Parts: sequence; structure tokens; C-alpha cells
Amino acid sequence: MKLIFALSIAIALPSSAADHPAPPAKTDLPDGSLYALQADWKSQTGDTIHWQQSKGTPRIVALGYTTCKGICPRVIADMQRIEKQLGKEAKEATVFTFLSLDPETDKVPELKVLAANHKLDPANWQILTGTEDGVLELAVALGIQYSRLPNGIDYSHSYLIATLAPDGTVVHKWTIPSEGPEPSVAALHKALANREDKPQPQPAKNAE
Amino acid sequence: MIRRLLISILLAATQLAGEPVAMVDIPGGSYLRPLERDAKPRTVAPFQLDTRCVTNAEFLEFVKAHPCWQRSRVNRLFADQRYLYHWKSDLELGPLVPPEAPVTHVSWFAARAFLKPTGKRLPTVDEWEFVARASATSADATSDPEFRRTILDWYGRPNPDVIPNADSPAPNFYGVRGMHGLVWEWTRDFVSAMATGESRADGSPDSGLFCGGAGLNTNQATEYADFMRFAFRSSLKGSFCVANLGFRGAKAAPSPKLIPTP
Repeated sequence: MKLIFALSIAIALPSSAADHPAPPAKTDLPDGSLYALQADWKSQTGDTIHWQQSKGTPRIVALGYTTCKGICPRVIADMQRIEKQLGKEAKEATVFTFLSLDPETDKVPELKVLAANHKLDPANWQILTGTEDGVLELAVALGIQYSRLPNGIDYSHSYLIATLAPDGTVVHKWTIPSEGPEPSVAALHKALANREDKPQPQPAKNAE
Repeated sequence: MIRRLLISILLAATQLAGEPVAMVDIPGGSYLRPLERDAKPRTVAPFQLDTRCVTNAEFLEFVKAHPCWQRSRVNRLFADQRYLYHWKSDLELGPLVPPEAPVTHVSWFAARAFLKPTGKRLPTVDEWEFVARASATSADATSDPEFRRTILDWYGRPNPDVIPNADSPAPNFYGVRGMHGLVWEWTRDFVSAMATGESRADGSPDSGLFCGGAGLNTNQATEYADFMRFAFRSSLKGSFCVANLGFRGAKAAPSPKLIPTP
């Protein structure tokens, strides 16, 4: 018991408030932006997606694999619930991103089949695959736990649909299936309203 | 005699400058992952492992060469507020940080970035655990109560203010030092540590640690150390920097045939 207590202190430490002031960010991306990850993906249309060039693109991101018969179809359906509730403008600005945990099995043809089965519009849906290292880094950055099951086919993985602001920061994580799409939708709307490059309606000098 | 003296002087000189880390061949084989005693044995392919952890001096050279990994410049996505917290400054270790002690307060991302230019990677959970079973005299000492007690004793002791040198622990059966008794270590796939049976779909950040633990058979006191190690891993995030968490490098065993990587 004492050991567990000591362990929990050791674990609590890294997230506790540090005594040092936060060092300034030295990149044009804000701290914590997922777009700082270096990775290239292939999409269901065979296109190469340079992840670092995503800046300015809000995304709804989930990880799974095409042969999954468990939670993944549910995850895609939940992403579609977000899509339906976003409204036309926000929906068109957002890229719905489903990344394969199984780059060994999931190649462009498998991604294409998945997209067709779920009627995912390539205009705003990217079904992606990449390298084992690339997907591991994105999963770790999102805090997803996953591992291949002993049958060598299936993966166990956490349920997660992340909402990314245009700058790549995570503004919401949908981790409990029963939560519903509303908080993700609200977080995305808020992020879009706050985006820097959006013309602000207030300083309407021309109108005066 | 004189030659021997010369050699020992030379040896002392290289030790002063910090000897480059040696790697040893680990033959691999079949093993039961701790806490999976009822599951099928896992296979560990032959690989090579650093005989000791990466040191502060080595990590200092790395951040000198890669300024984006210096304490004041690192992206918070890759390392939290405690990154290299114990160092005096971006490029100074300070008096409480021995150059030859294992570097700690490093994130998983930072460890990977360090290893990449060296052609190495982090060991997987299975590779690490495979080697961690070895005592000084046996490749698999998991059924040796004395070996288990030594590990548990270390887990129960508070961290020393100054971590001893990375090469100070006695070598184990394979010639690898400090698997136990010095610092905890990052593994490549630490995110897989607890998710072995079913999908842990509830996503609650704390459930992996303590609720998962309650589900294990904690009566098996012999596995308590294993449980702590796996619980610790599953509590980590890739950006976490912890006072007693370091890393070492690994790579696949050199193969006589060239296998193209995708």
C-alpha cells in the first residue's frame, strides 16, 4: 500500500505545476499543436498528405483499423454525427480524419473500401495510413493506448475522437461513447470563431 | 608491467571523457510476459541492447547539436514542464547532475529523437522485460525469490538526490547494467502496457492504473514488482518527464540477409 502511495506521488509529479516559468515557444505553431509531428500519410484516394502542412485545417481525428469489427464502425458513425451537426460552413472547413493503427494491413485499396462502405465523401474525409512509427507518435501524442492482440489481427485501443483547432491544438477529446457529439461540435465552432485568420466583423471601417 | 600500467591509465582517461556505450547481443526467444501467466508465450526476436542507460553528458551533446530539444525551446507537445528540470540551464548540468548518471526528466519523444541519429530505437516492452528477467547468473531468474526481493526493495526505496552513474550497477547475465536498481526506463510501445485483454474503452485517464490493478490477482506477491512496472508504464504520456525515468537504446540484430524495410 505504501508502495502504491509512493508510486502515485511519482506519477502525480510530472503533471503538477512546475516551479520554473514556462519557456517561450520557439516555433510558429502553438505549444501542443499536433501539426508539429513530422509524418506523411497516404489517403484513400492515393494522395500523399503532409501532416505538417495541415496548419489552418481544423480536424476531427480518430484512430482505428479497417478490419475492425468492434468499436471502429461505431467511431466512424460518431464522427458522422459530428459532421451532421456542424452546419454547412464548419463542415466544409473541417477534415474528418480516420487514421489506421494497422499500416501493415491497411493500404490504399483497404482505405478506399472503408470509405465506400461508410459513404465517406473524399472532399472532407481523409482515411489515412502511414508508417508504424508515424501512427505510434500520433497515438502517443493523443494519449491513445493500443496494442495488437495475441491473435495477430485485432487491436485493442481506446475510444477517442479528438477535435483539432485550425492550429493543430486539441480542443476536445470525446472519450466516453455516451457523451454524444455535442461537446465536439461546440468545441469546433468555438475554435473556428477564434481562428486568427478569420476576418473579424467588428472593425468595419469601410462601412462607416 | 609498464604496458599494463599504460593501459590502465588510458582506460582511466577514456572513462573520464565518458566511454561510448557498448551494445550486447540478446538472443531472444520465447517468454511469458509478466502478468500474462495464463496467456501464450510471446516471441522476442534477437536484438541488441545498450549495456547501460543514456547519460546526462550524452544527452547534453545531443541538445547542443539539436537546439530545438533544449529545455527552453522544446515544444510542449513533445516534453512537459519538467523536461530536463534538474539541469542548471539549457546547456549546463550543474553540481547535482553527474555527467555519467542516467539522464532523467526526459520524455518519450525526446528519447526517440536522441536515438534516431544513432541508428537505434527504444526497446519494446517485450524486449525490455525479456532482459529484465536476468539476474547476474541466470537468463531467467523470475522464480528466484532473492532476485525478486532485490527488485522490490529498490522499488520501495525513495529516489536518491543524486542518481549513481549509469555503469555502476553490476552486469546481469547478458552483460547489461542497471535494468533494476537505478532508474525506470522508457519503452517504444509503452502505450500497449496494460491494454492486453479487452478494449479499455472507457478512456478515463486513471482507470488504467488502479482499477486495472484491482482486477489483477494481487495475492501473487511475487508479481507485485511486475505489476508496479506495468502500472507505471500505463500511467505515462509521451510528453511526461519524470525524475527517475530514463532510457537506453536498442536495435534489431544484424541480419546476414538484407531485408528491405517498407
